[in-house]
Amino acid sequence: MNENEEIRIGVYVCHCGLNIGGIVDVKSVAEFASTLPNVIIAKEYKYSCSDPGQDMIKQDIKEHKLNRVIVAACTPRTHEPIFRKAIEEAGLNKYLFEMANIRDQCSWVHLYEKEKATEKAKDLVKAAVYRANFLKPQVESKVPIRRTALVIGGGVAGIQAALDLADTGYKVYLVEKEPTIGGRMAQIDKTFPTMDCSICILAPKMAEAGRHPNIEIITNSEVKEVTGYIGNFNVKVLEKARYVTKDCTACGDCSTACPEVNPNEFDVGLKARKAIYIPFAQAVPTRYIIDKDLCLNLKKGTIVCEECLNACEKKAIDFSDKDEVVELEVGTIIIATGMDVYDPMKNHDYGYGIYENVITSMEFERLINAAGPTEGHLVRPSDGKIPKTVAFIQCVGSREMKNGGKYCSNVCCMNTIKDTLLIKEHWPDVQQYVFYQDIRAFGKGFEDLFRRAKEEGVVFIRGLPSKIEETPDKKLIIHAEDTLLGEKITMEVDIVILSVGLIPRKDAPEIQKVLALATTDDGFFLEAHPKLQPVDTAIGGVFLAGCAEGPKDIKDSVTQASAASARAGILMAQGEVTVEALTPVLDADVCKACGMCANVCPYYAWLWSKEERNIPKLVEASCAGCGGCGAECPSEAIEMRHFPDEAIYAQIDALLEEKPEEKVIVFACNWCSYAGADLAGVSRFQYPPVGRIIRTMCSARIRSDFVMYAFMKGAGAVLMSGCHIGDCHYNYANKHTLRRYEILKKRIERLGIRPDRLQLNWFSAAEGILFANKMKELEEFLKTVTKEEVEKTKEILSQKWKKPRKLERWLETREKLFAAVAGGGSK
Amino acid sequence: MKVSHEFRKEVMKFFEESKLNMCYQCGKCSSFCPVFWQHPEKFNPRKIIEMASIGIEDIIKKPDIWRCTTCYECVENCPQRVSFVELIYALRNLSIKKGFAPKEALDEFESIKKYGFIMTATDRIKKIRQSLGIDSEIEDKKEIIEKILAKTGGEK
Repeated sequence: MNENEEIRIGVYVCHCGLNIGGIVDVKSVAEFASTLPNVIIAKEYKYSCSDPGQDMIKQDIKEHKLNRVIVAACTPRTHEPIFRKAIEEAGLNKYLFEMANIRDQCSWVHLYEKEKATEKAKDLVKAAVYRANFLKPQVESKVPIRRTALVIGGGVAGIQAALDLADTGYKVYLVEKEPTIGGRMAQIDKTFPTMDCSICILAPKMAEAGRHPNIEIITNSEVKEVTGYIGNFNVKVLEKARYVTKDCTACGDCSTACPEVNPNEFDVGLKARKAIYIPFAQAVPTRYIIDKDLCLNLKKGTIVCEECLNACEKKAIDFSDKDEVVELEVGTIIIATGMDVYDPMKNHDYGYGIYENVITSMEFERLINAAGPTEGHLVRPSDGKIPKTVAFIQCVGSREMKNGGKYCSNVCCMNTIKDTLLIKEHWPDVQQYVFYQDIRAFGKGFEDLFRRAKEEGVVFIRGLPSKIEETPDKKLIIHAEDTLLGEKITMEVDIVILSVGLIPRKDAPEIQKVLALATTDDGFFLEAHPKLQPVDTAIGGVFLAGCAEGPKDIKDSVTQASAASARAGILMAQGEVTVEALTPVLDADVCKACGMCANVCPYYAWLWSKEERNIPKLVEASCAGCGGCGAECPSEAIEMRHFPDEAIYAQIDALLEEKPEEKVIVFACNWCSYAGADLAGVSRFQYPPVGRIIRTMCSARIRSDFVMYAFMKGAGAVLMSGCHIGDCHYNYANKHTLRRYEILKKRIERLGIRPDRLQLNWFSAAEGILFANKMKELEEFLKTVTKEEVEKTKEILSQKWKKPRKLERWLETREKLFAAVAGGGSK
Repeated sequence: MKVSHEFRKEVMKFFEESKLNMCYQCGKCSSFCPVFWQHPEKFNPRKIIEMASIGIEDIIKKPDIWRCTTCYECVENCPQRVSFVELIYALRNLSIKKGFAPKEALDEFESIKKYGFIMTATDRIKKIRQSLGIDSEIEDKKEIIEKILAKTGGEK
């Protein structure tokens, strides 16, 4: 659009039946609007959003050659899309539409202050009109999505996600750190609540993934680098040398010949393996691997032992194999990196690691497994005999503030109950006790299994033991309180099984860094929204499945994997994503290449390097449009599309033209605090009409200059608001809001302005009542702000504060606007 | 047993509410407690936490709260970081304030006020001290201690 093009604004003030019309004097607001600069036409209408209402607007656009449309009605959060579509149909770019919220944030919350509500509505309309001068037509960019996916982690979640995507028709790379896929589920003997054999149901899935034409499994590999953005990720995978070629038939002759022995990781160290080995019989790929830290040749760097070479008929052993970096180009990524099991070595209280007969539930799984080290016999490690009495201790490393996790690990209760039934099945005479604090049998079929265990004679004792002592014959004495009796109990058992919790993987921070993901304070990966986007991450195109997101059982992991693949599939099916035109534009002539924008960007969307000190380049697809960079840029080189600085100065100006000392400028973010203010309206929470809200996408958009200008214009107070820390819709952008607020407070104090006049509050979208209460509090606060104080502030700032360049630009525009109005004689 | 909302509030004045509410009655404190292990019927920290957190005033009338040796085994081993010993101090303070404290406890308190020691010397100790030529009478430090108490707010 031409810079000098005449701006022609149409304003439509909506009655919304009596919702607005019953409180606000709509007619006078419309009349007022018609006197504002560049307003060609201003009308009132009963229901603007109705079809006839929209038709009227469309008609006017054509008839009066309108190129900006303002509807003063309800909230843009619900109705902006409707009106945007309408003006698009009339041939205008949808970004040339603006809304003034005179219902949710005005008439509904000031039901009994009709005059003041009308005044406020006029202010809001004026702000929209001033702002409209800076609305520009925007083109939304489209980003292509590659139809290829990367799944990180080959446990049951990763396998399921890969299979679902591959079956849909997408190419999938499944990267696994271990030599085989299968993950934790492969180690488990039976699964609850159905008592299915774990490997029996998993192995077919592993094999299917192994032979699927759309799946490429890359085992013994780690994701080292991910660059790019939604739909266009470039991934570097380090594929470690396996030293066994694809010719391997897994006959096992090499392993028989190999002289070197080590504990087998798959059997949690309870069984031995050779230096050349296969983790377990059903491993996929069905291919041996050489442990380079154990093999004599690889350790020494020369061939000193040729046992395996000689044994291998297929000549599939290659000692010259090298680590290789594989580069992948994918469109979406699913993280299914799983979890670790809590290691109770730290928990000396139960004597694990000291007493031979104290084992973990994971060790139990291998002992009870027919393919395990004892061929399915639960034996006491001390003497190899079947125990007569067994005690389980729950919550080891779960619900703990000290060791392990402070959360409930979700699976241990049912896992123990399953274990007791397994023991019953094999050795019905073994007496079993479970020490617990709460049994959480919440899932489908869980309570049935719990009941079955009790029917079969398993004794559940409520109370966690303190100490375990060992007798000379290696029996164990447990001391506990039966909390239901309030009595001390001691019990001698043959073996103690610690029901250990699930913890984030030790190597999770590596993946976290590679993908710039957020984690919860537990260390599990953070979802984009805990309820409505449970498998999305804050990074577009990256999804979560399985225990990487939090402890969960097999069923939930599989469910989540299917969900994640569906989410990734949606993107890939569309083939492209539209990026809202809220992204920044950099003026390279003004930019000083300081890199501040890159430093505050929560998405690493600005490409800038400290060494090169280059002019930053925006990866538009990575940008979510929070505006934090625009607020930070010291040379005002960044223009936020649709929310440019000039427009915000214009809004501040409009809102503070009259009786500024009686008003509070409220900066509210679109997602939480603005939505919270809307909720106050919907709930009809009444509050005094002192606040004037300026909406931005994120509180991080609030440039310090906006606050300074509001004070210079005489605002009684300024309230910065946004989502609670940790809930920010732009990753962690609101941390910068907090930082700027703290700096600003000190700055205005130094200038001699009472720091209390600048306030910060977080409101969630559900905290309408808090917003209303804050407004009441601010009304009281404004009583302490005198006219003299405001005048003094104005004086101080006009002397000591250097006006930003973009503010000057708005002021020039303003002058022109009013010159035109004066000349036209309409005001 | 009657639940008293007032008593609960009084306890919380001494003790952060969130800390006490964290207890989920797993029984590790009692299981670790040397006193419980000797006399489970006379002293059970888990039950004391439960009674205090729901507001059963009877607890400060009972001798139980005076049986804690403050060995901190419970605090060390609590999976939820409930500080039982802090609770005991709070309950004892309330007990004294409301005049429920047993005579033995008050005697000790008086002894501290007078001599600065919880336990004063028995006749046997006095004899041994005499035989060794050490001063056998304990100095009355009432004045100094009162000063200290006044300055530290201990008078309350």
